[in-house]
Amino acid sequence: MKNRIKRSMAFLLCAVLLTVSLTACGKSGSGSFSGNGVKILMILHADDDGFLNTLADAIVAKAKEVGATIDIVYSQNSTETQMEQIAGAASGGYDAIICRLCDTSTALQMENAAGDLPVVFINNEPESDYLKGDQFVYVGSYEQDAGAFQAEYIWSGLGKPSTLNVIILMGEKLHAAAPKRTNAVKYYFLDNKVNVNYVFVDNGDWSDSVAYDKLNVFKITGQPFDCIFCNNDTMAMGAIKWMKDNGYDTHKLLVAGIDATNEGCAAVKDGDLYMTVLQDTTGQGNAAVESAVALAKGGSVASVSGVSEDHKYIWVPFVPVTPQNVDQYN
Amino acid sequence: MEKVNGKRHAKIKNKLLLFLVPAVVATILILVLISGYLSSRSMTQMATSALNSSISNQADNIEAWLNYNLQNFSTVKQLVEKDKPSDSELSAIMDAYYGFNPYCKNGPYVATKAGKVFKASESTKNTDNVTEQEWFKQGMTRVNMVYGSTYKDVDGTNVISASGIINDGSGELKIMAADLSLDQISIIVNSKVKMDQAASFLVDITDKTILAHRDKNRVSTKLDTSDSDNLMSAIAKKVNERNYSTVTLANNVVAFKPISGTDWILISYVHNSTIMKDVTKLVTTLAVIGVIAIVLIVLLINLMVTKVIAPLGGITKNITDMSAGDFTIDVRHEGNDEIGLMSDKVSEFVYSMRNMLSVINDESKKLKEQSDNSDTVSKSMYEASQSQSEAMKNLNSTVDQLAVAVNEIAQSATTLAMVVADTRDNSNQANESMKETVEISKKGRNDMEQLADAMQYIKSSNDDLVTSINEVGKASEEITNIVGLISEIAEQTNLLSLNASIEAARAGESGKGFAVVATEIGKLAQNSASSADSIAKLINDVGKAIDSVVAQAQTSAKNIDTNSELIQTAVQTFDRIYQNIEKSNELIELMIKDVEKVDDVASNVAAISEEQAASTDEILETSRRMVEQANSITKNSQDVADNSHELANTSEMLTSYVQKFKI
Repeated sequence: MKNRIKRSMAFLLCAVLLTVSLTACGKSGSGSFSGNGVKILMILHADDDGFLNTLADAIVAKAKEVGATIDIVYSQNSTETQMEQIAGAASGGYDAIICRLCDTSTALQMENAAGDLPVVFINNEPESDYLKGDQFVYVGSYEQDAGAFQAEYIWSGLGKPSTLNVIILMGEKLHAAAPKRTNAVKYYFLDNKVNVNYVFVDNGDWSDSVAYDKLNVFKITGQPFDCIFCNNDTMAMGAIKWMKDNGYDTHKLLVAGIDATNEGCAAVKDGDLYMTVLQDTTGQGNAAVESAVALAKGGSVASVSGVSEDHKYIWVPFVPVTPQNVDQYN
Repeated sequence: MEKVNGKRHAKIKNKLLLFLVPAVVATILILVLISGYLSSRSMTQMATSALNSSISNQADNIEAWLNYNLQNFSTVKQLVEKDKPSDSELSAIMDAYYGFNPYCKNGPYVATKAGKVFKASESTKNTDNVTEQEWFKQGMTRVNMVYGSTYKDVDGTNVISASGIINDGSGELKIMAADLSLDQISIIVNSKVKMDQAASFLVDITDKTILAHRDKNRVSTKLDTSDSDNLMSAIAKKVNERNYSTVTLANNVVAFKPISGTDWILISYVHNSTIMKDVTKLVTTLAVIGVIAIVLIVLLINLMVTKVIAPLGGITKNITDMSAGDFTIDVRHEGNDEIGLMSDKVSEFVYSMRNMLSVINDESKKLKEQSDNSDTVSKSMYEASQSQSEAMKNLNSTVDQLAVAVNEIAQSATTLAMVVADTRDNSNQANESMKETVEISKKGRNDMEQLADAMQYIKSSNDDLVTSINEVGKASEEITNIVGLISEIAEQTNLLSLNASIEAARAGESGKGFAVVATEIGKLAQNSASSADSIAKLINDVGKAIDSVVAQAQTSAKNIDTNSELIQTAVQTFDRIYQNIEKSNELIELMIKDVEKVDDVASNVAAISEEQAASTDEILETSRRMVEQANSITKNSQDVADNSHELANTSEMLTSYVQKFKI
């Protein structure tokens, strides 16, 4: 009997030691940010997205810093092309993929194409159902925060009135970020019990001209407005242009953008754009590369800061950009 | 099984079962619990994902349906924006779409800021105060047609309108709208739930209005945190928080799904019991299977154990029999396991015990016989030693008597010696007297010679002579007396020697020497007696002679002269007397010598008797010791007898013990 107990204890001890050592190994694996020898393929939906190009530059810089090899390919807005590129990554000797989806609804298809390779999605967020902890992850900013920042700053800028006439220019209808940013604005006012009259809410398709055209249509309705929330800076530029063309004072009727693009920041400096929200490209780039390297090594994204509990998301915080701090991000 | 000291005999089987059954029960219990827990978890997960899948499906359906219709309306709007129809043409288009979409019977309709309305002629749409209508106001806020909030139509049905500005570049505000009955959405919400026992409802989060609900009464009411239904209030709270993760609220798993393109949120819930029903069923099944498994395993263990330890029962019985002394048992040995080995060894043991016991039995029998023999021997020895002891005692008393006798001899011898000494003294005196007699005889002869010489004197001297001869007569009488005394002494010595001879004969070997001496003494005494007799006779003769001498002297005196010759003859006679006296003297000296010898012998006898007395004491001591030894031999032989008796008993006991074993 005694012997048996001894044996069981020994066995248990061995098991514990083994587990501990394995855990330790796992930790040391993911704890290192050295990307030496890791080959990453970055697939972007197009090369004409200003924000995305900035993000891509940050990713390349970070990859170089950690010693990982990175190649960039563009899908020319074609899901088909994108899938082929993803499918070719494994045979191309890549260890991980960083991907900006053309269409978030194709996420599962792309994941299947990737096979065993881990994929770090950036910029365009797939639905949570299609992400998988420590394999298919999304690095981005918590879109809701951007909208909330906008609402908070504009409302304060207008002197926290109890009623507001609001125009919202949304991004592309199918872009995941658009409704999140929009809803965040709405929710902010709802939560603060501001009686908001949404005089115009339409898709500006991230484009200044589309935004301009839509505002022209709005002009027909003859409704007043106090502020224009734009899902991105580009549309804000269109809105500012429209306001100026139609004789509105951009210092009284406030415009808010997102992304803190160069144009956006310039507009903030000029005072035409009341504020914008920085999607921290450096932060996102770092997080994307760290995640890709960790997953390429078969590890976990647990050590990447901003990781969600389910290891599906790595959230990089937004930063509100106002005339006070715009110089830091220009 | 025999009960020893009332101690209960626990069966190995029971012990094994006691160990195994709890272990098996615990294992199966743990298995059931773990699988119950795991399956409940995975079933909860499955249920959650089923709920999520169901709600996604419903939401997709709703979205698809909404999008389809929106697309439909947008197409009309696109047409209008592109064709820029005149008012009549616009009315015609509206008419054309009347009844085209079953969910939108009235078809699309258009209103201008000025209040002009274009709708199908059969349309029942209320278009009074058109610019004040919700759909018009909402439509003003977008170019792309988007669904607005719900409201009740004239006929009381809940509808939503999709509306948007017609962007035809005319500069005039024209809103196109189309109504959708929520009935279809209600159907999707209430009937397209893809999970058993799950339910869904649709809420417009802008004003928390319930758009669709299984419970008709709930439709169009507000979702309120103060709802009496715990679930609804919890959901309301959750919706207010805009936390749309799947959670468990009021014992329900609740999933939320915002419908894109609207401000709606679809909420699906399923009661935990529904989920747990399967889990409970599973656990119950597992428990039943577990119980059956336990029963089967216990039976199996029982069977196996019984099978495995069955030979043990036989061995146990064998050992029990053995302990009861029965070695006639036949140990069956089967199997090659430890138990088989055990029965082999028990069998060997029984065999060797059987042999050993029979040997012991034989030996103990022999021992018994031997001890019986030795008992008998020791008894007879006891008896022998007793009789020896008896004999020794007799010997002892005999030796005692002998000692007494020897002492008596010694005393007698001493007395004899003294008597002999007296005799010797008397004999010496006789000798002296005889010497004197010789002297006197010599003198007489001389006197006779002188007589002869002086015959002349004879006459005078004749009287002297007669007187002297009378004196001689007197001396002879005294001698006769002395010889009588000697004769008496000799007689007595003879008696003593006879006595000594008898005692010597009684003393056996040790008295032999003494017997010789006694005989010699006897002989000497007889000689002394006969000598004394002879002396007496001689003395008698002497007396007679004296008497005749006297007579002759008297005659002679008268015939002195004549009797000179006679005197001569007398002198000669004197010579002869002298010679005889001398001879007597010699005899007396011889007798004295013999008496001295007797004295020596008597002294020797006394010494020897004393030595013998001492020897007799030694003999007595020795015989006493012999008696003691004989006694101790008796005692020892008694002990031996006892021991051999005991040995006989022991061997008998041993035999009886050994005979207890059946072999």
